[in-house]
Amino acid sequence: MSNVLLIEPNVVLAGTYMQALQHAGYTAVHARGAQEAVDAADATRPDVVVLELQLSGHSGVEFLHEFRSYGEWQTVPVIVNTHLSAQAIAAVQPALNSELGVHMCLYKPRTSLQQLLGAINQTLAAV
Amino acid sequence: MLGQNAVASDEAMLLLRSVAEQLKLPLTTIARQAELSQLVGDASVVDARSIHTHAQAALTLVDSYLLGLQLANGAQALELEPVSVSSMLVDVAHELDAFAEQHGVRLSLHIAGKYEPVMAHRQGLRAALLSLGFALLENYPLGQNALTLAVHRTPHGIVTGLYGIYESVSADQWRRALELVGRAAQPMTTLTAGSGAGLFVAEAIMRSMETRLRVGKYRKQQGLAATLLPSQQLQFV
Repeated sequence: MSNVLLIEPNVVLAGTYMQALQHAGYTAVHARGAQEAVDAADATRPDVVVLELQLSGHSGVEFLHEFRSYGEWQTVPVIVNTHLSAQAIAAVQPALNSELGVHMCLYKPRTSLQQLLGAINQTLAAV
Repeated sequence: MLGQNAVASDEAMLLLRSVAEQLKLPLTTIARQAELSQLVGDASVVDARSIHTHAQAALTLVDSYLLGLQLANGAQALELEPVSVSSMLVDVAHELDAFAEQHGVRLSLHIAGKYEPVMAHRQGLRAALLSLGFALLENYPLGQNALTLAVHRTPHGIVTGLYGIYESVSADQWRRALELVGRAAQPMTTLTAGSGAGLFVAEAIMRSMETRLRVGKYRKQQGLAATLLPSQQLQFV
């Protein structure tokens, strides 16, 4: 059973994602912010991370820099699922893909639960 | 005084943009919750499919508004590229289908013949057609139940739009409606019972692409459509 770390600042939306992940057979842990996510990763050893870039306090990009600085987390796949517009994502995407090892960027308002679950399956299958 | 008005207008625009960005979160939450209830078979959410469809339609409108704003103020470069209008219409019809069904409207797709690609901003054209579609489907006149998403050729270019059995929609009404956007609660009652935001968002995006939505006719139906220029580059392909 794969373990998903969901980093989502909105608790209501996070609750929906958590239920969908659990319904699909994943174990999942939720973190609202970057520091909480680092602590959760340390405690739960995720197989995949689903990340919103817009967090309060440290941003998702800052989390990724921190996350990738630890040897054991350098190969953990990360899927960005964000409210940021395509234009805003495009501005940071080269760095996300090449330097920070983001596997996929999804636009949250147009990504259904089924599509997100499909993306997680696909990413885990490719690892 | 004019300067003060311009500043106030800019501030209002920034505030509206901020509101639109913020609206994406609750709308996404509603859409995903409705989707979850269908996924897990939760019967306690009444008509989850309809809630999901309407939340996604609202998200499309918000996104289209923000895109129109970005194209208009140059925050997003207007990169026109050859776009297959036929496959775009198939995609748009597919996206509108569930919404049409829930409103009891039969949405037809008419692509008569072959069309060379048109020069358009791909994302913009899609957003404009979807916004137009959601607006017209939502407010379709009582007693009518058919809308046509169509493309046809004229001497001026390739015309694509949405048409229905409306009574006396005129270019004058549309011109006046454009002057009343944001000022009147019902700027164009012949096409929409409400503010018709989707119509005007579609028009704003089309304008950014250097075309306009105009009142047009297709097979005895009336509606709004835009004329797009064929891609010169690909005409010989």
